[in-house]
Amino acid sequence: MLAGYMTHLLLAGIAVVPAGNDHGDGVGVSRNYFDYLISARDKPSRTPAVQSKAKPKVTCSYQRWWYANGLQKVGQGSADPDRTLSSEPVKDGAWYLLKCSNGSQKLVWLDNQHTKAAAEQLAQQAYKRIPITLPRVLTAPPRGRDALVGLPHWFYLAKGQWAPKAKRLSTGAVWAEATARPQRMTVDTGEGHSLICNGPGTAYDPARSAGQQSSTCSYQYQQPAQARQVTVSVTWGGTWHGSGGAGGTLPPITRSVTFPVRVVEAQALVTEG
Amino acid sequence: MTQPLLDTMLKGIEALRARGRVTYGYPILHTFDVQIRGTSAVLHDCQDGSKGGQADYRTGKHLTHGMPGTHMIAAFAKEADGGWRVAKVDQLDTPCSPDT
Repeated sequence: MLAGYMTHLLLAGIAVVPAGNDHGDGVGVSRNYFDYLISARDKPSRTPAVQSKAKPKVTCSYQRWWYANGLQKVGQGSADPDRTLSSEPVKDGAWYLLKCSNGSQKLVWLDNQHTKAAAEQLAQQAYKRIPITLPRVLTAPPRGRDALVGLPHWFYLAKGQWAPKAKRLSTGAVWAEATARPQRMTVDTGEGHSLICNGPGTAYDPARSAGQQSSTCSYQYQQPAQARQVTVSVTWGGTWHGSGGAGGTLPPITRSVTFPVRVVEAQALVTEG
Repeated sequence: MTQPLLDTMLKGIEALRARGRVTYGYPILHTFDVQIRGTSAVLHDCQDGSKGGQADYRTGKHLTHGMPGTHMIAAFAKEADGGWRVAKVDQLDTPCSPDT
């Protein structure tokens, strides 16, 4: 029954605007937007100019061609099926046009469940490949200089450190993009206290007076110490999205650095000076 | 036929008429490999388009013709009235043979 409908409709659909080689000059049809429907094109030979003994690597690309269950329809109108649909969710799956470098073409159906599972695996691989380096921590007073008892010691990240990073991977028709976003910076002061800062801290501006600035991530040391072991950790949250509208969260990643801070009494500095 | 192909075809006819052309003949269909998924379906057609083409509207002179072994793919949508309608058509680059 369906085949009957299809035959009739296809006939009607395609017979409207046939095109082909002009009898006069034999050149291919004009390239307007409908001629392709039944066009006949002169094609160059697919035989490569140089034959190689090594088997050439065949690469294929997938383009979502049509998807099922009416989701392509939007209200009274309809979506343009040729636009990029890779980020739009589809219900059950979609037909993809598989084009390979050896010239082969075919339609393949990819079920959403399989696509989502494959996308999630890809996302995990992509997440692992995001280069999340150790935090580059700056302080005020600067690293290597003494902290002062009773005065705020600033902790902040170098410029550009607090920015999301993403990695996208694809294989065949399946793709996934994982994104890591810095969520919090934790400072173990080495004095038994921890700071949780929901940001990269505030960069100290040496051109301005200390009184005109304030930090969103600072600590006042209570006691002098020769070397407080300070650990600064940045925790990254992970999310992903991919083929078929799939997506979710990925486990957090934490990167830490530890460095010593000598804490001295301010009056001692004055005495020494 | 249904959207989005319907609009494309109507615009195509309009453009064809604007050039003083009409169509003649019909392609000979050799459909194969029908796949149905819910309310959507695709099929392949290895059609012979050599018996149809574009003609001059005034003189009737045949100006173009199609080619045999033209590999078409068509998408169908099953609509609310239960009818299957063509929603998208494409031609594949690789020619086909109706015997295979």
